Amino acid sequence: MSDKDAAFAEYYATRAENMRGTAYLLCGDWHRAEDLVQGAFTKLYLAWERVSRHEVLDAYLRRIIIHSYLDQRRRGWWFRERVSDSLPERAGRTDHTDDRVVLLRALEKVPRRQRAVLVLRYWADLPVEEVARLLDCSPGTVKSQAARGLQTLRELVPDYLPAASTSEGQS
Amino acid sequence: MNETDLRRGLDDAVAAGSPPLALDSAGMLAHARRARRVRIAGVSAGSSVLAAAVALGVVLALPGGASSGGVGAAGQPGCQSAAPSPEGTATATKLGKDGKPVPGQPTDAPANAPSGAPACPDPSETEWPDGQTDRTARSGPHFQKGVELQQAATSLLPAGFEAVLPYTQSQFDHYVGEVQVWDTETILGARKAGHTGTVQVENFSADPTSARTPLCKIAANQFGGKPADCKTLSSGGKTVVYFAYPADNDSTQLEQWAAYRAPNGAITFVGQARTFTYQAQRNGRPLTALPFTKSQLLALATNSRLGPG
Repeated sequence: MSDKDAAFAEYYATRAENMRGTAYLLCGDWHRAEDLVQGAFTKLYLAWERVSRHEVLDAYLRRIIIHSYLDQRRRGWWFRERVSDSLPERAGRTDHTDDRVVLLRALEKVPRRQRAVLVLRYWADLPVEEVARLLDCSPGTVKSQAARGLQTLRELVPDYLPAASTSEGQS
Repeated sequence: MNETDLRRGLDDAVAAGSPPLALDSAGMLAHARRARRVRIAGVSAGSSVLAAAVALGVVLALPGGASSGGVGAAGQPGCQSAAPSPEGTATATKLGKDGKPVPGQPTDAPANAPSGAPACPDPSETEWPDGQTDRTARSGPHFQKGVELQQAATSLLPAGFEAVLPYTQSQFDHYVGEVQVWDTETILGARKAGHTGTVQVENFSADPTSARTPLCKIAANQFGGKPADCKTLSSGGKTVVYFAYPADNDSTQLEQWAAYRAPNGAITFVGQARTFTYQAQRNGRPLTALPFTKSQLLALATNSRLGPG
């Protein structure tokens, strides 16, 4: 195995899970997330000689994933994914699996760019400036989109609390 | 829900349901190598000039954005790439139909793009047809098809309805060989006595790659619903697929849709809802009944005026 291939394989082993998590929260489907990540890593491999400075690898991959997600119509239109048709009925607050589904389905109803901002800010934990660079917009836009996205989620699932919060509250 | 709740919720959603990666490092590497071989083979099949460029070590340009000082991409002198090029020189390969590089398209980019330059396009981006600068047709025959589709859909509304806040777009989807696949849609607010619902008509020109895909699967994936609940019916001697959510469904999506695949492979889709889900009227008063009956909806799907022609 060449040095390039070894470095690429090592980077994939280190970062693929994280990138797939980002993709999953964006598209709401593990299979589609896998496709997005494989596509992004393939592009990275093709450009490895020029992008192998590790401090920019993550940004490079995220950029491909984000823009592939935002422009799903580049793929055949019959491949567009839908996580769900509607928010599920909620029986109670004790089923954490249901909580996760509720959040994902609510997230699906958030406009795409707001959703991307929410995922990059609150899951990938990126600073506002980096999210702005990834989305080709201003930091002010990122802040306003994050606020709007969060407000949309609040309206969709007003009583939502994650499992950790629920546990803490009960203890 | 505050920001901390959202962080925890997202963490939980990913951690809980994460299946194993489909590809391990070796599998991903093999996949990437295949992609490189395919790309190089595509380049080799192009012009001799391009083949010579490959032999000299062509590398692909990067999508734009993260830092300044990168090299440009094909046809985009002065744009920024995601990372500086250690060599300072590179050649971008623009991909065209079928994802193959366009002969003669590689363009030597300036070694040092100015800071603040626009982002480089994705090198795998589809070549836009007919001189368009993006996916949407803003003039020409495909734009005109959108106009005509809106007019036809408006004229076919039941008596007593008027069309409000129409949204119409005709956009290129992808190439299949030399064939362009187009997607044309119009979404109307169907208003009657101060109540507004939705009528959506969308048609797709023939795409040989989806010819064998069940129409229910295509339509459900595109417009919502479960393929298993999609019914195959007949309208005027033509086969139409139909889906309806339960009457008590509170989804913001279309409540019913019908789709028809013409013998030439073109697909026409018609959907309706009592609410007008388009942003500006989301809080408007919904219709008390759907604009079309089921049989009318099925017939509309087969109406040649709503097809791609």
